[in-house]
Amino acid sequence: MEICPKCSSELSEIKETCPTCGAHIGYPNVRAAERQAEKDALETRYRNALEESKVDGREHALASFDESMKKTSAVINVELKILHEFITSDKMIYSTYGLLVEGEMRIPATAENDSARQTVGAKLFGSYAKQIRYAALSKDGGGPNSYGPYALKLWEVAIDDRATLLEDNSYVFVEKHGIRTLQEIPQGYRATWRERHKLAVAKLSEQISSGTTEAEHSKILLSGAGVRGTDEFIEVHIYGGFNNKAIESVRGSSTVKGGLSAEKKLGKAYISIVKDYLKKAGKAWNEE
Amino acid sequence: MIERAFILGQIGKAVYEQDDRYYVLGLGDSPEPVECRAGEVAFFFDVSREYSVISGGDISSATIRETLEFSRQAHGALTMMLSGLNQELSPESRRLSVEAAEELLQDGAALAFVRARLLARLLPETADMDGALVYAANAGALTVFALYEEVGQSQEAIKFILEAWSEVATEFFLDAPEQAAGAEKILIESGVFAEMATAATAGETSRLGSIVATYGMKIELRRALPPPRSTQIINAVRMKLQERVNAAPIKAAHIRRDEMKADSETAEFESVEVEQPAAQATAALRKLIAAFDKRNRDWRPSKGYQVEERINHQIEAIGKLISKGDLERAREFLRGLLEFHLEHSRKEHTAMSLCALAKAAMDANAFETADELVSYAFALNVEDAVIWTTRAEILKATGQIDAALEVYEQTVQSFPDDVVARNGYAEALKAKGNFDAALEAYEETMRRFPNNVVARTGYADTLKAKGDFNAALEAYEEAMRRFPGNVVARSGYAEALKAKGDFDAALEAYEEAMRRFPGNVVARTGYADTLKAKGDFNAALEAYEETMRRFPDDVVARNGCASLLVIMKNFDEAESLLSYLSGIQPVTKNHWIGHHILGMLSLRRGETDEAIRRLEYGWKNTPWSDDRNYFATALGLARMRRKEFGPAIEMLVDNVVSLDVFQRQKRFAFIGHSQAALGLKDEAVDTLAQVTNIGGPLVLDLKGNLIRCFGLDPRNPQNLTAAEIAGLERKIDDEEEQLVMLMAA
Repeated sequence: MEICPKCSSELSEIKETCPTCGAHIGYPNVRAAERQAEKDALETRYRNALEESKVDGREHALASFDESMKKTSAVINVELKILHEFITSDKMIYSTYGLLVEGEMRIPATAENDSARQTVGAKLFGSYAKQIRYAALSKDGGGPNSYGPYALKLWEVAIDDRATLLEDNSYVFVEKHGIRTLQEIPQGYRATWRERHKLAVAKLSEQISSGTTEAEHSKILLSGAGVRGTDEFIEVHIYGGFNNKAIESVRGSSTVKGGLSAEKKLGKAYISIVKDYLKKAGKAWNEE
Repeated sequence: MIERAFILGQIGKAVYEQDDRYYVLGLGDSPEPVECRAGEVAFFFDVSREYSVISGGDISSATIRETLEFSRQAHGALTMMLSGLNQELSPESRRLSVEAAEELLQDGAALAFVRARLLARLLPETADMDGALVYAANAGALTVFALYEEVGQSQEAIKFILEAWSEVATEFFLDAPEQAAGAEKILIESGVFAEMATAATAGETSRLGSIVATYGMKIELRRALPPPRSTQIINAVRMKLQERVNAAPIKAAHIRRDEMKADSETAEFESVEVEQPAAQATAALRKLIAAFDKRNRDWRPSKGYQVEERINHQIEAIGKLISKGDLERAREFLRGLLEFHLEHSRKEHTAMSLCALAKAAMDANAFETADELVSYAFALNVEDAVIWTTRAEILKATGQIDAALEVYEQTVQSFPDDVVARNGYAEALKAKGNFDAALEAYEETMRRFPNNVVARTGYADTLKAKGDFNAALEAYEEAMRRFPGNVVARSGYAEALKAKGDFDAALEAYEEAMRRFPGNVVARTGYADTLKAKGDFNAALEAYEETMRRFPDDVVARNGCASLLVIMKNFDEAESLLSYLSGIQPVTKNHWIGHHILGMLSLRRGETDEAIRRLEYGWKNTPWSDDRNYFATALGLARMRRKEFGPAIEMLVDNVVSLDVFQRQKRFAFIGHSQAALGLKDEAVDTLAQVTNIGGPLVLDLKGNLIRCFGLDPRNPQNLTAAEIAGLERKIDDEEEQLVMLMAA
C-alpha cells in the first residue's frame, strides 16, 4: 500500500493526487513502474540478458545496443488529417470557425468508468486509462505505420517525467499474458523512461548477434509489416495530453498516393501547410 | 447496439461505443471499424477542434460512415478555404489549398456547410482576403473566388448579426450560457446567419422576414432550439439586425484587382467603389500578351500533368464565367491564366488556350468576347491554323459568311494540310448557298483525308441542303459504315429521311441514335422535330420538354418547342421560350430561326403588320441562304393575309436559292392559292397540279381545301354557303401557317 509522503494517508494506485491532502503524488503509470518489485524484476531480466550475451561472445554488440537504446525517442504515428490538425491547432484563423459546444457528453467523460470495462486500457491502467497517450519507442524517428504514415517525434523534456514503457503493444501484451486485472500484470515488463534501455535489452537481446551493427538497431527495436496487432515494438505510455509544442520533428513522405483528385489535392495542401508550420516553429520535417 | 456516435470530421474519424468497447471508423485504409483504447479516443478528441453527434436508436455503421464521409469532405473544404486566407502560409500552401477547396466545394452540401460558417464569423485580423482572391483567380477557382468575395463583402453584416445575436442570447438564455452556445451553433450550422448576412449585404432587408418564416418552421431547428420556439429567437435576431442596418446602411466593398504584377506571387487587390472599366482590363491583358516576347532567354517551359491540369481547370472556370455573362470577372481570371502561361508555357500553348476559350465564348453566344480572345492569340505572333480557323468560325457564326470564306481560303493556302480549315471553307460555301462549290470542296477534302468524318458528314449535309435526298442518304450511310460511333452521321441520316418526308424511318433512325448516344442533344431535338413534322404534336411536345429538361440551355430545342407551341396556338408559352431574343439583334443562325418563329407568332395572332415587319427584316438581313428561303415563304404568306396576292406570288417565285422537292410543294400550294384569289383559275389549277403526295398529307389536304374553296374542279362543283366558305378559309389559313412553321424549324 502506498502512503502519502505529506499526510501519510493511504493512496490509491490509480490516482495522481492524495485523496486527503491533495498533494501531487506522481503519475500513476510512473509510480507503478517505479515500484521496487517491478524495478527489481526488470533489473534481473536486464542483468540476465547481459550475462547470457557473454556466453556466446555477443557482449560488445549488446552493450552497443544498450547504449543505442538510451538515445531512443517516443514517436506517435498518425494519419495526415490528424497531423495537420495537431500541428495547426493553436492558430486563431482556424479556431475561430470551430463550433465545439461544451456540455455535451463526450467520449472521454464516459471513459471515467473504464476500469469496469473489459478493454485493454482498463486491464492495464484501470480508471486512468483515458489519460494514457500511446507512442512507440524509436531509434530513428520512425514508428509503426499501421497507426498512420506520419511519425511525430516527441520532445524528450515534454514526456520524460510522465512516460513509462511496456514490452509489447498492449493488445499483444494482455493477450500473451492472459491479463484480466491490474493486479495480474507480470513484473519486469514495464520501465520508467530513464530505464527504457533496460527493457529493450531484456526484450531484444536474443536478436543481437556479435555481428549486429548500430545501423540495424532501429529495425530490431521496431519491426513489422504495417499491420496492427503483429507490428513489434516497445509501447510508450504517456500520462496526459500534450500540445504541438511537444513535437520535435515529423517524419513522413511528401508523396500523396492514390485516391480521388480532390483527396490528392487536399493531401498535398495538408503536407505543404504542415511543413510551413514546422519550419516556422524551427522543427524538422524528415522526408522518408 | 450503437446508440451514439461522435463524428470528428476534421480528422476524418468517427468514434462510438459498443458492448463496452470503443471503436473508431476511418482509420487508414480499413473500411471496417477498429477497436481502440480510451486513451486513443481521448487523443482524437484532443486533436479535433469540433465534433458532431449522431444519436437515437440503433445506429448502423453505414449511417455513421455516410455522415463521416460528408463531414470529412466539408471540414476539409473549410480548412482549405481558411488556409487560402492564411498569410502565414507559403504561397505554395495557399495555392494548393485554394485548388483543393475548389474541388471539394463542387459538392453542393459541402459548399453550404462552408458558406454557413464563413458567413457567421468575422474574419480574423490575420486573414489576407486580397491575397486569397488572387490565388483563387490565378487557379481559376470560380467557386472559391465567389465565396471569398461574398465573405469579404459581408463582414459588416456579420458584425451586426453577431452583435444582434449577443443581445438576443442574453435576453433568451441569461442563466444558461451552454444553451446559448448550443443555439448559436445550430443557427450557424443551419445557415440562418449566412442567409441573414447575404440579405443584409445586398440591402434586401425585406428578405429577412422570409428567412424567419423559412427557418423558423424547419423541424430540425424547432427540435434543436430550446423553448421559446425557434421562430421567436430568429425573429429577435432579425429585428435587432434590422435596427442596426437601418441606423447604418451596409456598404458592400467591391473588391477588384489592381494593376497586375505578372512576376509576383503577391499581386495585390484594391478595394474601390467604382467598377474598373473594361478598357483598363483589356489593356492589362494586352500588356501581359506583350510580356511573352520579353521573357528571359534562359526561360524554359514547365512540364508535367499538374501544369496541364491547372490550365484546363482555369479554362473551364473562365468558360463558365463567359457563359454566365460575367465578363468582368472572366477577364480577371483570364489574367490569372495568362500570368500562369507566362511563367510556364510556350506561346503556342497559350494561343491554344485562348482559342479554346474563344470557342467556349462562341458556344455561349458571346461573339465579341470570342473575337477579343482570338485577337490576343493573334497578338502572340504564333503561326497556327487553329487561330485562323477560330477567327473564321466566329465570322461564320455571326453571319459574316464572305469574310469567313476569305479567312478560310487564306488558311487553306497557308496550311494546306489543315483539314479543319478545308471543312470550314466548304461549310461556309454551303452556308452561302453555293452548294456545288461546297460539294467540290468537300470532295477534295475527302480525297486528301479519307478518314475525316467531318468532311463526309458535311458532304452529305450539303447534298441534303441541295434537296438531293437520295444522294445525301447514301453519303450518310457511307459515313455511318466508316464511322459507326459518330453521332453526327446518324443524326444527319435521320434528318435526311425526315426532309424526304419518310417520317417513320426518320423516327426509327433517331431512336437508334438516342439509344447509342443518350447524352446527345441533336438526336433528341431531331426526334422531336420529326414528330412535329409528322403532325404528332402531343408526342413532339413531350419530346421537346424532355430535351429541355436534360439540356436547359439548348437553343435549338427551345426554338423547336416554341415553333410547336405557335402551331398549337399557345402563344404566351412560345413567347416565354423565345425571351432570350428580347433586346438583342439576331446574330447566330439560331437567333434568326427564333426571329422567324416570332414573325410567325405575330401572323398567327393576327398581327399581320408586325409579322411583315419582322419577316421582312429577317429576309433582308439573315446571312444564311436557307433561312432567307424560310423568311421569303413566310413573308409571301403574310402578304397573302393582307390580300396582296401579286407581291406574294413574286416573293414566292423569285426568292429561291435552292428548295428541296418537299418544300417546293408547299410553295406551289401558296402560289396556287394566290393565283386563285386573283381569279387566275387556270394558272391556279396548273400550279396546284404540281402538288402531289410527295409533299406529305398536310399539303395535300391544303390542296383539296383550296380546290373546294375556290371551285377549281369543274367536274365537282361545290355550291358552298358563305359560312362553309368562311370555315374552309379558316382551315386553309391554319394549314398554311402550320406548313410554314414545319418548314422552318
